[in-house]
Amino acid sequence: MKKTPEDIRQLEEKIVALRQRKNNSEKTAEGEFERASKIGLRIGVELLSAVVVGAAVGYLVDELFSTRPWGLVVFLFFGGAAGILNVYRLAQKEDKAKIEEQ
Amino acid sequence: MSSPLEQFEIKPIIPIEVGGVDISFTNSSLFMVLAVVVSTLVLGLCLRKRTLVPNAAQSVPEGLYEFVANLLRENVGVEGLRYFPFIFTMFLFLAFGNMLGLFPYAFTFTSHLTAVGSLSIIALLLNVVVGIRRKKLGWLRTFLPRGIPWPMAPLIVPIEMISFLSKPFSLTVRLVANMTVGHIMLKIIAGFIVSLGVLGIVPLLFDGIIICFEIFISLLQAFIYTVLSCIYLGDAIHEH
Repeated sequence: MKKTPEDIRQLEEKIVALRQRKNNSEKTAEGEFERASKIGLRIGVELLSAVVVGAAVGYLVDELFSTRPWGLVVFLFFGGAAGILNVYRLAQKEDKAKIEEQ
Repeated sequence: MSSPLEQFEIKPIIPIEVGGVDISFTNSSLFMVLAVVVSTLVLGLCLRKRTLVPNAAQSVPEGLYEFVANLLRENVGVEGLRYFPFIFTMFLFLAFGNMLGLFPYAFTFTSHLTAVGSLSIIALLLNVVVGIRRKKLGWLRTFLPRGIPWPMAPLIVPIEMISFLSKPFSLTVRLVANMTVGHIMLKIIAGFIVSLGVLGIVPLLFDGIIICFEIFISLLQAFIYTVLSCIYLGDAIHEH
């Protein structure tokens, strides 16, 4: 095997050192407020999107089986439940991440 | 003065119609093609001279590569690297689409639900295909987690299905809403510059700050979209 030139070996050491420094600084870089607001925004979108998708599915069911308005009524509630489920899963995941961090 | 929503209008450039379906080449398609061409050109030109120790130009694509590869490794695991080409292409397409849309007179295709939605549906289909290939029939367990009694199934299955379908939708809404809001804000504040006369310098400065912020948002949103599609891919590969 060809011997690694001296300058490349030095570069490698530099990269390792920089990477370590980056890993150390990353943990404190993100403030508590920023993190909380990011999660909050995500929860809002997750909750809403499930309701909208539920309504869309209900509407499609109505169109397919001509059961208006029952599909929309039933699937809107399913959508709401799915929204809560999404938020619950998200919160659980965030909790787990937070515990692992400490 | 024109309306701030006018910039989102889709105009056909070359009208094409096949069998009653309108598939015209629009300004949206033009900018999608531009995003592909520009990203290919940038990466291609940067990688023209390849050396072991990268020069400034070469380190751009290498940095991007490392960045996306790390994302996949963290969120999906090593086996996720098989889907690297898809995720990397998606990231570049969105990042360049967002940033090209910031040029004056440009069109932002990422501000349209249909464009980003189609991309999310592709990601969803990939999730389904990968899931079925990995777990075979066990993939259907996604809709009925373990430990749930059978009588509950008629209630749980539709809820889980809607939850599954809502993932790509929330992914899409987040990107589209961010891009749309940014562009409307820029346009409205730009409208004040002319009407305020000399005092227009204030909104002009403000617009300058917002443009810088929007460049950051363009990259950030492309990044968030990529991370979340990585997580969805991870869900398909691993158990819940």
